[in-house]
Amino acid sequence: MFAGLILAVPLFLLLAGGVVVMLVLALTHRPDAALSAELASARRHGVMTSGVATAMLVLGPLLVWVATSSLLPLGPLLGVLPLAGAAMALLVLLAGELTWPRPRGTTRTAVVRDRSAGDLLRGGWARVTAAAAAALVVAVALAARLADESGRMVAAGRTDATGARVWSGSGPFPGLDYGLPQLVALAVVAGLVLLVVGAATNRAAVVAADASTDQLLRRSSAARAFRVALVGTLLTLAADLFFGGMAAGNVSVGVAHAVAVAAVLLGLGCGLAALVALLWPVPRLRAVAATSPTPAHA
Amino acid sequence: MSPTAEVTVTLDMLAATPPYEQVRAQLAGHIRAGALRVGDKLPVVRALAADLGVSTNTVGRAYRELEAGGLVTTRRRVGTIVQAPAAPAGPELQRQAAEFVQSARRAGLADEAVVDLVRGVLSAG
Repeated sequence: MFAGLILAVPLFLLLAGGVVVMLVLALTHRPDAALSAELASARRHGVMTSGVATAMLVLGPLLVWVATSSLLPLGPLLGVLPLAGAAMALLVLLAGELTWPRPRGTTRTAVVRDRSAGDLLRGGWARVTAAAAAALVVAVALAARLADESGRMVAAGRTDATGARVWSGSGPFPGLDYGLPQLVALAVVAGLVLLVVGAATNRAAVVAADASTDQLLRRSSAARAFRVALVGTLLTLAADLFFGGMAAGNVSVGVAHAVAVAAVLLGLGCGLAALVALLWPVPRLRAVAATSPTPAHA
Repeated sequence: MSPTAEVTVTLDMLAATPPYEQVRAQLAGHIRAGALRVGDKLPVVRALAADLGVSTNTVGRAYRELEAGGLVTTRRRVGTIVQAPAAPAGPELQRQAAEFVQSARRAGLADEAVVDLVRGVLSAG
């Protein structure tokens, strides 16, 4: 019953949230007719790439699972699936940036302006993703400290009525056996995010788009990369906290038990936050009056 | 530091002048005219090449020739920066150049013909 709820509630929230977000996006969407052909084409390219990347984020873990389940140990493999999905989605986003529409006319104009990747690394998406990544590193380090020698369980000792020390263990617990592959996967994801941001910085400017619109499209690409990384990181953190908390709760008492329960709840919160992040719109061209084509932020 | 005013480079892919020379000549013109000032940072080769839809070699060659001409300097980790021309065109010379271009355009000359005219005078002199 409880396990069923854990699956059903997020799925319901994802569906309901998805419908609401789609409605809001549809109502505030600036129609193609209000854009130049090049700008409409660039937006289509970005949205299509994002759609494929999101599908890869969801289906990628299944592909990784099918491809490697017979080769790699089950637990650590399960632990890296969300970040593996994020890495695959980031590869799609990178391909999208590298195939961004290029100018084709016989007369081509470029503005001589230095573009810096730093501009795309300062947004809210970047900060939240960095915070989530830092939280995952801290959680893995703490769990590694608490885990037993196997790296997959947590053990606690207590003194029984006869005065003898009795040890009991519980798992799965995200010790280094789970945590190390997660940290490697996190590093890969971070590297891919930087590659996507670099590609978004240096890709061709959209012909006929003013500087602010062009920058908005670049910020949008960067935000999509951070969103994918954030979802993968939060889901990994959620799994570590949830299963770690459950295992620790089985062998602890008193304050330690309360901390373990809090970790379980925090894990559920992280899972919920991942769903919210997945549905949260990135900066985009919003509907405006036809006479004032100024971009706005989502 | 990026240029404060909007400075552009336009490529005519059908022109007889090779694209790298068009890029070099326009950037050199912007630097000599003061539209690009000392310390201004040029876009990285890959970005300008993408914006113009040409290969990175094209823009790279233009930058190298600007550097050979002493108009820019390239530093690792910093990029390509505008530096002071050895013999900067003073305001009076710039005014005369602008007047000459306006006169040539009024006379119906295309920009390329104006450049040819100046080159012809330079080679004759």
